Amino acid sequence: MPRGLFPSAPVLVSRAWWFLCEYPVQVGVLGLMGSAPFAALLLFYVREAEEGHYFTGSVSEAMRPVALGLAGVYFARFPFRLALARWMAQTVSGAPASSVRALGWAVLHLPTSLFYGAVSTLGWFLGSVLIVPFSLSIQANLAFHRFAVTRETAWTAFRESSRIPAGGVGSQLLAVSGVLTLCGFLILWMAPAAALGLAEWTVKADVVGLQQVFGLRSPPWIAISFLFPLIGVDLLWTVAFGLLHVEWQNLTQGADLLGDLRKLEKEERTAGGIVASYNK
Amino acid sequence: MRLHFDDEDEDERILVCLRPPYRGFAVIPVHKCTCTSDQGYEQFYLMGLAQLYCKDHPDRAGIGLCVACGATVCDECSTRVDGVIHCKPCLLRTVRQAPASRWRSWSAMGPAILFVPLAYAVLFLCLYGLAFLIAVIPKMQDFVESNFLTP
Repeated sequence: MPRGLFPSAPVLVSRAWWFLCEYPVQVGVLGLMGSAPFAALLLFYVREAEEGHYFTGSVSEAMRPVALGLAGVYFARFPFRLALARWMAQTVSGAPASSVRALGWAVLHLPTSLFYGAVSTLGWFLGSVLIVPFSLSIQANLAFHRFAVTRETAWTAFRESSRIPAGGVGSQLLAVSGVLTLCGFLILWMAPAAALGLAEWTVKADVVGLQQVFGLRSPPWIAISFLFPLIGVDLLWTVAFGLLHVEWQNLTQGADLLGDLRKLEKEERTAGGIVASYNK
Repeated sequence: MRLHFDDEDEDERILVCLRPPYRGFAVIPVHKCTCTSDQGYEQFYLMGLAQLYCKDHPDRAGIGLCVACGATVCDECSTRVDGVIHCKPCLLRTVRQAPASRWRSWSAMGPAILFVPLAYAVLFLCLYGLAFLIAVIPKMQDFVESNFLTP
């Protein structure tokens, strides 16, 4: 598996960060328009659930439609993600890129984005139990970019994305993203409480009111501390996959390098006329 | 993985050069590739090909690999599109099968109908479970404090 041909996951994440810094408006808007509304509604949902304090009878029934609606809102992010992939593809290739036109294009291809998004989501949930289905998420994330770049049909782009040897880099990206989210969560969760504690200890400031909001045991702040890094890392993850796909394209000009290598290996075994001396 | 040169028979080695001017799996002898001097060693991914012959003309040496099927093609059998080598059947197939961009998503309709409700259901269950957990945890805390922690 030619994983060494690709940049490592930390390099990709760092490139994604610089890409974000270079195009903050377009990447930020297209990236966050999808996930930020869901995150905001999720916070309200958590607050409602927390204020309920018990989960029987009418409270349970009241939460059910809210949960159904929230699950629906979650899927609104995927057209934006496809639009971001389209916009990235145009920008990287040097073609004139417009985020509005990319969004229009993504709306036109709504079934594709929903399909990839659903597979990605199932991959996340199943992968958190069985690990293996994470590959589905990696494949679906690459498929967004492949579909945006090529003229392939949605199903072909998805199928062909499994042939890109990015599983190793994708797994690395997953680990790096997890660590980044955890670090972001810990910093965001603990920093205000530490600052308030310091203010109380040093200048005897009255921080009781603020501690109820920003304290370590404040559920809203815990939820915010978790969601903000998650949204940011999700954005970096998307951009990093776009850059990974660009690497693959530059390397092979769209050809199936891995398939060709395997074919040559096979021919070496059967015909003996071709010497494939690599990966040593 | 890093592809590398075989130290023997330097002139006989054939590269699969991925950079201009031989963009896209052009099989060329080492000494003919003009991008070695400035692009350097890392730009090449040697497959160690001793010799390749055209898939349709076994007596002719191949000049490249088709970007789509990977088959070796001779000069006559190859067509360069934007500098990238295609064999004739693949080129024809590409031209014939290139779908209208507006309708490319139709192939996703079936899988979307299958997977979206499934993902929706899983997501709903997770959100509902989250609400349940958030509501139950304080109640459990109260229960533990009142039954086990109070003297």
